[in-house]
Amino acid sequence: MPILELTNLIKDFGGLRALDNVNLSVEKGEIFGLIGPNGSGKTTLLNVITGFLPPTAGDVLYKGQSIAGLKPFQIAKEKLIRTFQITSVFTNLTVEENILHASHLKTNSTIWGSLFTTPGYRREERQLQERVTELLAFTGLEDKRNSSAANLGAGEQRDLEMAVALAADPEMMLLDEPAAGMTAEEQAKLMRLIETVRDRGITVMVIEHNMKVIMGICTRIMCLNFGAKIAEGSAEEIASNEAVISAYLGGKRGA
Amino acid sequence: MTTTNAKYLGLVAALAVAIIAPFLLTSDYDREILVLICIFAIAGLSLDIIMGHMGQFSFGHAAVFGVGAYTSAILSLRYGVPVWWGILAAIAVTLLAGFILGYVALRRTREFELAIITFALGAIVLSVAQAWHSLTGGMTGLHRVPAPPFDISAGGLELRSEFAFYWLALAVLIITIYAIHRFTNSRIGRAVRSIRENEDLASSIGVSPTYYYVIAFTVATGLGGLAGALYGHHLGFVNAGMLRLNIMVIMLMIVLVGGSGSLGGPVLGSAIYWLVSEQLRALGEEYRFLIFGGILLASIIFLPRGVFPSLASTASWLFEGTADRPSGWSRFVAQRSWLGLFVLKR
Repeated sequence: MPILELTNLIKDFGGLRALDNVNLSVEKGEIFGLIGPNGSGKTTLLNVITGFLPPTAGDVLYKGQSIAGLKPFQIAKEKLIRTFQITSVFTNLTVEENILHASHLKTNSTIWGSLFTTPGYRREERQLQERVTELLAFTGLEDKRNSSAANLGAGEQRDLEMAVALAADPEMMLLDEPAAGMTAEEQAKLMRLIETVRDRGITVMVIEHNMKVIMGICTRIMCLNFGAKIAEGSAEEIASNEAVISAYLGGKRGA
Repeated sequence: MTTTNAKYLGLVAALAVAIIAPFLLTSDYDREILVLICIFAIAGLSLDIIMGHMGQFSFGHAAVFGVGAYTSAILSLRYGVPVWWGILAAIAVTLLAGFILGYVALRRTREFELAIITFALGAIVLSVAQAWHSLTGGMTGLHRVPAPPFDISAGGLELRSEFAFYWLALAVLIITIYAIHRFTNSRIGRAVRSIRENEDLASSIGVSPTYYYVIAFTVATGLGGLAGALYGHHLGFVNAGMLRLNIMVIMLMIVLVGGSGSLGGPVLGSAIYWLVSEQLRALGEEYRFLIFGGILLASIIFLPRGVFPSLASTASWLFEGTADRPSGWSRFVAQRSWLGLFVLKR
């Protein structure tokens, strides 16, 4: 059974068809790439999957269950976690606080627990601290623990964004242009990080413009153009696909 | 001295002042001001749950304060309900009102729209209070609202009533401060802060914005209702003037001048307001508000974060030197005070 399945997904904005009958299935343990020219509907697709936009027609199945129409936080509770195109971290908080706040789904202490600092609450706080340490080591941010997120470099903020998403304990992650604005060195680090995430058993779907990143890590790639799927396959198949090349280089539509 | 030690020192000093103050002030009138400082500190803290913790704004908070005052006054005056139960009922009523309002308003609206909705509801509550003469006493309001019966005598120590109300208000204030402090580090507090910081990101990591904002809003209104109930029993009367915007402006001033988003801010703000207000009593209402307007303007320009956070960051800069340098006015003050001389010498 695929972990994520889209069936005849349509999204209209007024008269504009942003997603045109998209069918897709992502298998557990894959790194799935989503490419397409600007305005081809990649982010819209991600927004529909994660509940930020309701689909006009069609269905989104996650682990065999329909999640279309659920709110973003409900979908996050199903352990389907996204990141944003514009780097989104809690800018006014420190790196450590970012991860503490993102661990919401992993905590269950009550208000009474924290009012009276019960043993249960203290235990959970200790576990959270360990979790922060582990996630910071994983994303290479150990020495930034007490820095304000606003003072991190662009690449480090991307790393923190990954740590925040991982703190929500995903089974599947949807990454929206994680390599945007990264240096070649940071991109290489990101690719290793995404592969390590996959090795932890987390399925990854990644939107990216950077072909080196996409071709380097993805098991399968789908290309969107004007909201419709124009190609799907392995990196080699996509790289040599006529429709993909003309979509990117501006050939005739549908050529 | 570390920042943490300085913090505890400040806390102990503030507590010492709060305990010694009623013994130093000889007239009941002066002690009354102390009670008002406590009550409005609670009201300011409750408004700051909405402003500082949620990053939102409610113009209806004066109405909540008034509903709390009316509920307890009406129950104790008209129905002979014991004062303590009246106060509990005021909390219950305002909690319920806050929940309904929060559930309706916070599902869709934020910031400016929320301010307008709460403003409208405040105006409705005011009209109802003025028009429903048989219940609220209309424009004249309710008089001879009973004070809480204090018959506390423990270990041969009998508390006299003008003292007792102060201890009650102070105790409620201290419990409030402690509860909000713990709330900040709780799962709910973190969820609320994550929504304030970035609502989309918060929902994408599984935090339900409506759920946690409604909880925080409800707690804020319940606390505001409690402050209102105490205010009514303290003054001995309740009228529609309490629902008007001037109470709202006072609460707003207390939060903004004192410092939003900090526990000390509203407490200090309340103390500043009432102490300055007493000095200006001879001037009459119009001039007082003119001067307060000036104070508010000056604090927004020179201490945009409020008096308390500026003092706190100046203190941590003085004691530790590692914290961010305080900016602008607070540094100016620090450099020109005797403490500042010590810093400049280093």
